[in-house]
Amino acid sequence: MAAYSIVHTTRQRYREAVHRSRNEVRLHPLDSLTQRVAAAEVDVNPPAEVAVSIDYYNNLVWSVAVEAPHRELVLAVSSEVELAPPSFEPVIEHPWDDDALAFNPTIEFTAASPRVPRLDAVDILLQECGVRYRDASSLVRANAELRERFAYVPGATTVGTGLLEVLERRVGVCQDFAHVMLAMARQAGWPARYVSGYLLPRRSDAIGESHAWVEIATPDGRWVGLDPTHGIAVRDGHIRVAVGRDYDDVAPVRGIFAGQLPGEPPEVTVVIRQLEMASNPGPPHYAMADQ
Amino acid sequence: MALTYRVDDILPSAPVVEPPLRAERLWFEEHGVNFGVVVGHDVVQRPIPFDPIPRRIPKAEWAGLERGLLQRVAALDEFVRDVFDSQRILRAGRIPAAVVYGSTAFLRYASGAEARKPGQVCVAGTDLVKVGGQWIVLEDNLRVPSGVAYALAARRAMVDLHRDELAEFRPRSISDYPRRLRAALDDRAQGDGLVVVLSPGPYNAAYYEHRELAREMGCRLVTSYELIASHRGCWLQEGSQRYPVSAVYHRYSPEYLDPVGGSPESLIGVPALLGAWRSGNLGLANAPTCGVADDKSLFPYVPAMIRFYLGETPLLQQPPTLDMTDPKQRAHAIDAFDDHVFKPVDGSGGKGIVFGPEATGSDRDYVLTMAQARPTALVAQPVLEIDRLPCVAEDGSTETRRCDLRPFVIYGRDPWVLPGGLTRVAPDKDSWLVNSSAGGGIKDTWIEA
Repeated sequence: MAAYSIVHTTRQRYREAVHRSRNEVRLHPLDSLTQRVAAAEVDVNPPAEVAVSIDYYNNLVWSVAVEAPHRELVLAVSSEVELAPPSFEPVIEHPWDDDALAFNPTIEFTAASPRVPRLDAVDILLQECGVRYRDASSLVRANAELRERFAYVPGATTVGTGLLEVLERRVGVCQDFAHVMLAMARQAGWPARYVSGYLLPRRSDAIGESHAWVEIATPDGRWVGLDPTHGIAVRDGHIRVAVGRDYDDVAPVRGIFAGQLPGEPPEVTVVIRQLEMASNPGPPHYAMADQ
Repeated sequence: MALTYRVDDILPSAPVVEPPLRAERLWFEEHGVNFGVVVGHDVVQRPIPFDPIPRRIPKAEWAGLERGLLQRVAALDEFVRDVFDSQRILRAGRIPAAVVYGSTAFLRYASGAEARKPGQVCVAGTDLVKVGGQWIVLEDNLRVPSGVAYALAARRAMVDLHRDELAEFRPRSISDYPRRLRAALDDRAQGDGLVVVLSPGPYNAAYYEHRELAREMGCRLVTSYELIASHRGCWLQEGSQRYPVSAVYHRYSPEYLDPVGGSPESLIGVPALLGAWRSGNLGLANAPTCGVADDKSLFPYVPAMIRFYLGETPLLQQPPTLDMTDPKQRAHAIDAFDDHVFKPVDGSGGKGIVFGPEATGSDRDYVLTMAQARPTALVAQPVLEIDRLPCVAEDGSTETRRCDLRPFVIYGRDPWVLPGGLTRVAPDKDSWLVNSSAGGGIKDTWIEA
């Protein structure tokens, strides 16, 4: 068991004061068997009204409403997460067949989604990677080899870059790798979902990073994580924050403001620190900003 | 030599004959009963064409329609709730899950406790035609069913211009509609506050209707700029004053209501309006969940919904709808191209509809391309030779034209069908499309008392 503290700060500057803003924040880590959330809070500056809700995919959402004029919005999410090693090996044992999928809720994740449309270019890529329909080992191998076909280049794409452009240019960041992998998995007959979260830093007290990968549903009711950016199956180096069909369902901060000029891209910093379990016996504290 | 006169010469010059439909045209102009038609890049508001020969429906025939409509809307409302709840109908395999999950109108953003309550549908407008004397449902409009104010105007025009005929038939009154709608909105109101009509604005084709319904219901007509919302509720901003809003009757397609959760590039709508609804602090009609039930790819499954949720046999017929994702059905539709009408699943106002019998070469290419590239975006139905009604032609003679009927159901605690509806009329005797955006007109609908 290892515990981590995460501070994820989003600083949105506006070119001139905005009268009010509305944002939805999906940065509360997921509570699951392998990952317990000991504490999570969002601190907003300027002061805001914050409400909590659960979305369609069971992600926790903070709705943040700022009423006063402001030139800058700072959303600081602090959380503490305890990770248990997964109780099973991240392997896909059985393939799906039509009967198994017919009444299974995971079928939702076989459908095309707004950011992951069905494309002929994906079928071509599947062929190129030697992925056979509903064949697990060839899909896992394609995940391991995606970096050989696509270049990881920070800044080469934006959050809005479409799948087709990524497939044509063969370049992207983790979000794009995840979308490509989702498209491949779905067109190869697997239910697959997008996961946003963090990658644990290799040394303690380091600047962490937001990350994205995919999960493939197996017929025995498990979701197996595949991280195409690193070419690995997810074991214990990842912290899961939100799941959905694609990036648009899990965007960490999404919102709108009343003002004249477009905002600049937000500045995001993530600091992940490993906690000494023994020296951290204090009770977890749940707190909301300005409630 | 005797003078001979031709009769024409001794009569005074012939009296000025009123051109046909002049009185009707003037009435609609005077009363501003406009419908916006796209001309180039603009929306031009024009008086809607009106035909003075009413459609008459006998009492017993209407009673059957009424029962069928109430049944249909009850099942659709259950379906909407179920899709946002445990999805029983999908688990039972009565509707292919892929059709629901693949629907772009399934607005998952609306999910939550409010989406599971009865009465998601407040107003439903169901399009029907008669084929060989039998009523057939063509589509269910649950997102933003429009047209009722035009039906009310058609009745007032008849009162003003054809009073004797009206007095003779004595159709059932339709003037109760605004009061009924207001009551349904009051039922959905959360807390104390104003009930407002939210319109996209004067560029919307049916702006006349938004204004008219607001006036008749005693509600403020507002645009998105006047409303402020957060998860705590909704307010009308007027100068420096803010007045709480308890319910919104909106005329937006639901995916455009709230830019925070809607399509990321869209800036229209009221930020956090769905948040206010989801947290139970605002009534919204129709609920933003309703789109999924008016997706044309779900239409073939409405009879299955009626059987599943109500345990009843569907009372109204509907044409078979071909699923273009199924290779066999697609091949059939394409082989018999001239016998089919092709509809985009998320369209309205006749936009993108291709009629096999009168398709041009480029229409045909478009359908063939779409059927290959995006088969989920298209459905095909057999072309129906729908019954025609007598109408007054341009030259004053009587001709028959294709017509449909859109009755309106107000759904909720006290379901009610407006005794009448909007009869839409094709613009001429050859036209297939009755949509007002395609130049179609309207006529009054008389239900025998």
